[in-house]
Parts: sequence; C-alpha cells; structure tokens
Amino acid sequence: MRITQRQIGEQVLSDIAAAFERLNRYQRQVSSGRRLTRPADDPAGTASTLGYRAAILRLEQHLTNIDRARSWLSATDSALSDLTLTLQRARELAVQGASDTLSADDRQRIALEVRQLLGHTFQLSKAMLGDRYLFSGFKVTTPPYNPLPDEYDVPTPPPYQGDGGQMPAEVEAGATITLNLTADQVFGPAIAALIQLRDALDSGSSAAVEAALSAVDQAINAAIDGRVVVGARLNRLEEAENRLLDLKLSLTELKSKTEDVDFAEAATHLAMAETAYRAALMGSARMIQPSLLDFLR
Amino acid sequence: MWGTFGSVEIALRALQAQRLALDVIAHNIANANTPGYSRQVARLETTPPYPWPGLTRGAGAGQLGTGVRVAEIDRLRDAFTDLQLRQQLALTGYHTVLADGYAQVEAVFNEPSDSSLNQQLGKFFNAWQELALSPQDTAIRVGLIEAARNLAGLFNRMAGQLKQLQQDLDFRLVNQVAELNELADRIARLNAQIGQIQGTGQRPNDLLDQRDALLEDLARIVRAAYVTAPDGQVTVYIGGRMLIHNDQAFRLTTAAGPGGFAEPVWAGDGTPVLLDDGSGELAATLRLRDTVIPGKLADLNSLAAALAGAVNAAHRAGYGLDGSTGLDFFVFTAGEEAASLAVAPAVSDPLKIAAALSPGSPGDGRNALNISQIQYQPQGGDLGTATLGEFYQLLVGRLGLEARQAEDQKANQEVVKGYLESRRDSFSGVSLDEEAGRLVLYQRAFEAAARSLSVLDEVLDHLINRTGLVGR
Repeated sequence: MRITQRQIGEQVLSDIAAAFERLNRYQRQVSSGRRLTRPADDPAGTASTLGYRAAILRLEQHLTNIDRARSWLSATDSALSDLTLTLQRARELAVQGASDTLSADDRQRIALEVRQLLGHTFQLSKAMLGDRYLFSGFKVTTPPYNPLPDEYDVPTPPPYQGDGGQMPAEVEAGATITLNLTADQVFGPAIAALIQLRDALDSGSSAAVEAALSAVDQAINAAIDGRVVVGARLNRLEEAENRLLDLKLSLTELKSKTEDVDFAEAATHLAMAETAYRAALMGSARMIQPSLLDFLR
Repeated sequence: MWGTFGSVEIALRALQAQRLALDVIAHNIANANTPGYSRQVARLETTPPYPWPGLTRGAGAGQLGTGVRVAEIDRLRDAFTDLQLRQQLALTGYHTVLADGYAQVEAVFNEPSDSSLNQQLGKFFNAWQELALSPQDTAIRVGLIEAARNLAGLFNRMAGQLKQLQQDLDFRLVNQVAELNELADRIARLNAQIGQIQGTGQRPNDLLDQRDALLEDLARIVRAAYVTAPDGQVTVYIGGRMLIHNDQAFRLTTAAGPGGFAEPVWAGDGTPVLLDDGSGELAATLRLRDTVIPGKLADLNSLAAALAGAVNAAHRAGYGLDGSTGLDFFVFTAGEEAASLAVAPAVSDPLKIAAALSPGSPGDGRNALNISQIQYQPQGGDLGTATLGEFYQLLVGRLGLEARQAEDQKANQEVVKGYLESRRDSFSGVSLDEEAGRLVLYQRAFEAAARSLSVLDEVLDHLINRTGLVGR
C-alpha cells in the first residue's frame, strides 16, 4: 500500500486522540469513583441498579416504620405494665377487704384507695404518643373514657368513646402488623372490676367483695393478654428489622458493585492506558521525523 | 523542414516539459496538507516523430524524434473509493447525530442519580407510608404534598426538556436544509466552471478537488446518488429526484408538517423529500425529533397517567380529616400527562388528603397505606404486568441500550470511514518522499536538456563563426 505523510500524520493524531480518550475515561472513573455515569455505560446494569435503589428507598421507609411502630408498642406496653401493677394492688386490697374481721370503717378506707386506683386507671387509659391517644382506635384525638361526675365516683363504667379501628403498619413490603389495642379490650374489664370492688367495699358485704375479686382477676388476665400480644408484635418487629438490615446490606453491596468503580481494576486500567498513551506519543515522534528530503543534498 | 535548428527545438521542448513537471511537483508539495487535494502528475509524451530521408530509402532512414511535451496533467483520484466514502459519510453523519441526540435524552433522565424520577417516585410512596402511620399529623400531610409536588414537577420538567430537545432538533433541521442548499448552489457553480474548462480540453483538477470536498460535506447531510457526465459535471439525486443538475441547483425548503414541525420539501413544487432512513444527518435529526423523543414522551405519559389514575382511584375512596371524600389527588391533561401532572388544587389543603377509609377517624391511615401499596401492583394498560417502578426502570434500561447501540454504530462507522479515507489518501495523497524523488529526476533532466542546448550552441558557433575561413 502506498503510504503518504498526511496519512501517517492523520493516523498518528487519531491514535493519540483515542489513547488519550481511554486515559481520560479511566482517569474519570478513578477520580469520581463511579463506573456508571449514564445508562449507555451499562444498560442492563442501569436497569438493575435503579431497582436496587428503589428497593433500598422502600426498605429505609420500612425501617422508619418499624421505629415508629416500636415507640407506639413500647408506650402501649408500659401503660399495660402500669395497669397490671395497679390491678395487682387492687387484688391485694380485695383480698384484704373480703376478710370478715374488718369493720365498715376499715372497708371505707380500703375503698378510698380503690378510688385512687380507679382514677389512676382512667389516667392510664388516656396514655398518649405525641398528640395521639393510644387506646381510642382511629379516634386518636378523643380520650377513650369520659368518667362522670369524676374519675373516683363514676357510678357505672363510662361508655368507650373510641372505635374498634385497627391501625396497620407496613413493616416489610406488603406485610403489616396491627399497632394498637383498644381501651375496651384492656381497660374496660379493669374499670368495671374496680367500680365493682369500690361499690362492694362501700356496701360492706364480703360476698360482694369476693365477687369483685374474681372480676379483678379477669381484668388482670385481660391486661396480661394485652401485654403478650404487644410483646409478640415487638418480636415480629425485631425479626423484620433484622431481615431488612441484612437485605439492605446485600442490596447496597449489589448497587455499589453495579454503580461504583472497582478501584484495583480501574487503577490497573488507568496505568495501562497511561502506558499506551506514552507509547503512542513516543512512536509518533519517531515516525514523523525522517524523509527523503533529509538525505538529498 | 527539420533543419539545422531542429535539435534546439527538441532541447527547448525538453526544458519546457521538465519545468512544467517541476511546477506540478511544486504544486503537489504546496498542497501536501490541503484537505481534499488529489496529487497531480504531469504525463509526458513524445511529440510526433518526423520522417527523415535516408540514402538508401526514399522514405527515409526512420522516423526522427522531435522531443517531448506534457500531454496532460493527470489528477489521481479513485472515483469508486469516492462513492464508497460518500455512502459511509452519510452513515457516519446519521449515527453521530443519533448518538449525540441519545446522550441528550439520557441527560434528561439523569439516571442513576439521587434526584431522578426513580428516587422521587420512591419518596412519594414513602410519604404515603409515613402518613399511614401518622394520619392526624398535619406536618406529615404537608410533607406528602411536598413529595407529590416534587414528583409531578420532575415529570413536568422532564417532559419540558424533551420537548425543548424536539424544538432544538427542529431548528437544526431548518439549518441543515439551508446548509444543503448552500452546498448545492456551490456545487452547481463549480459544475458550470468544470464543464466550460473540460470543453476547452483542459483538466480542471483543482476545481474537481473543490467539488469533491463539497460533495463530501453534502454526503454527510443526506444520502444521495451521484452520476458524473462525460463533460465532468455531476448530477446529484436525493430520493430519486435531482438536487443538482449541471449548473442548476433544485433547492429544498421546509414546510410546517402535521406536528407543527418543519418538514423538508422541494422548493419547486412543495412535495416532501424522500429521505433514506438510517443515512445522513438530516434523517437522523428527523428520527430523533419524530420517533425517539416522542417515544420517550409517550412512555413518560403512560407512566404519569398510570400513576395519577391509580392514586386518584384509591384517593377518591378515602376520607380527609375534614370528612371530604371522592376527591382526585392528581390533575392532568389527557395526552399531556407528564407535562401537566400536578397535585389537585383541592388537595393542597392538607386536611383533604384522604388517609382514612372511614370518616371522622383521625387515626385511620388505612387508605394512605392502600395508596402506598400501588407501588407493588402491576398497573396493566400501557404498563402491562409491570409496576410503576419497574416500567420506569425498563424504560431507562431500554434508553441506555438504544444509546449504547447508537454509540457503537457511530464508533464502527468511524472505523470504516477512517479506513476509506486512508485508502483515498493512499491513492490521492501527496507523498513527500515520492515528490522529492521526482523533483531530483526532473531537475536532472532539465539540467541535461540545458547542457544539450549549450552543446548545440557550441556546434553552431563552430559552424557559423569558424567554418569557411580557410586561408584567411
């Protein structure tokens, strides 16, 4: 093939440009740390990494949901724990009040303490997380009970003012747990039992106090059942959280593998590109020089 | 007739011919780096011989040479390579414009990044999940509206940028047509000059080079067919119609097409220009403007429509904090879903966001949860079995694939073009070594011719000044 100077010149220039472009590409990869800068760099990889990103985003929301759910359930649990203690004290008082040796005055004094416990129970039923009542179902802005005339001397158990709303919380994609317990489940029996006990003590009948004692026992069971349910839900949260954290780790790793530069590899490519670029420069310096004109006298 | 001074005439012709050959070489060297220049060679030939009467033969001893002349100054150019190169230039022009266009479309989608549609879509559904957990919280409702506005705004912006790209391409098309007309005019003018000069029996080598360079510029813009007449004038056809014939250029112009965009038409009768899809910058511009970008816009519209449709349907079923129900969450204009998507004005009051499934239940976030579930659900319709996120991810993946193909084609085309250019240079380019060698050759011949002239001079001197002086 006949070769002309211009051909060599053009070829050398385009070779140098190509070598420089490669050098620049790896340089950019190393300096930015990113392998994927536009979809065309790796179309399939881009589609997968968008999937990973979306999954990570959802997963972070689920972790947030779990935190929110946990604070709700923990607040519920501490209210129920307090309720259990209150009822256990009521049980002690009931056992004491059932004794035949007590005078009417003694029973009145015990009834006084039962009134305190009743008041405390109403307070517990109004437990809030932020500005929401925990035990009113969906009616989070309404207290579950409105005892009249007051919390101590309410004649009959006041009506539950909330609803039966079960609040769902999504903890994993498509999987929800229920957050709340309603006051009529856990506080209803307690309030009824305490009113019954108060009135029995006031009446001075030990048989009535005995009957109230078994109502208190049932209320304690209801409160404990509530705590068991809450505990099971907290466990589920824990399990879901562990799974999500594992998943997040592997998704983040996959995303990084798709999007980010493998530095060892990129550094090697960069070194090779640099060598190629130097060689192209050096070779061109040699090739362009000699011509017949150098040798003609 | 061929007398005493015949040899002087031969020497003179030699001097003239060698000097002309040296001029051609000087011209070659001068243009060694001129783009599109083809090397020229002075083709020498002997002048017609003269019959010389001999002693034994009436007709003569033989024919006596009468010297040399430059028969023609040849231009070394391979017409076949030129034709191939022009076809490849059209392909290169097409794929270069296409690859650049795809890169711009990719920039609109801006993936993968932390501020892209993929992320905003995720954040939008996360905001619903937030609301599901705290439906009575006004701050979270405001946050949701913010996330929805960001998402809708991004849809609007992306659609707007794609449309702007279309406008830019439309503008470029008009420019390309103007450029094509300008080239056609210049080629037609050169055609006329070339025809005239060929007519006088001379070779318009440099004008041919100029015209070939213009034809290559033209080839980049549009795929054309070329026919060269014996008188050297070239006829150029686009889509079977003459663009250039002899000294005439049949100009193109643009007319408003169906989409309000410019369509290339023949200026003469306004009929559309038949362009070869897949070849030439003009075709690539049209493809980007009329197929690629509308395709992406349609995909975005499908996505926005599916999103708005599903969210609206679920939102209508729920109740706001103020008991409002049956409200749409998003509003949009049909056919312009991505460009017009917006949060419904009614819903910009945070109390009206329907998080609840039952009225008067401030703690009911079930409808918000339902709406957040849309992200897991196949949407049907244009989206088929894909969820909103999957549809978008596929869309970006496909865009990447198309862009990658365009880049690859462009790179391949560059290689083919480079090869053909190199082949053309190999044939037509100036080799300085070769020219230097010839330079010496013609210089020596010139020197020898000059020497033979001085020998003749001496011979004649002898004859004229010293002959016939016997006995003086």
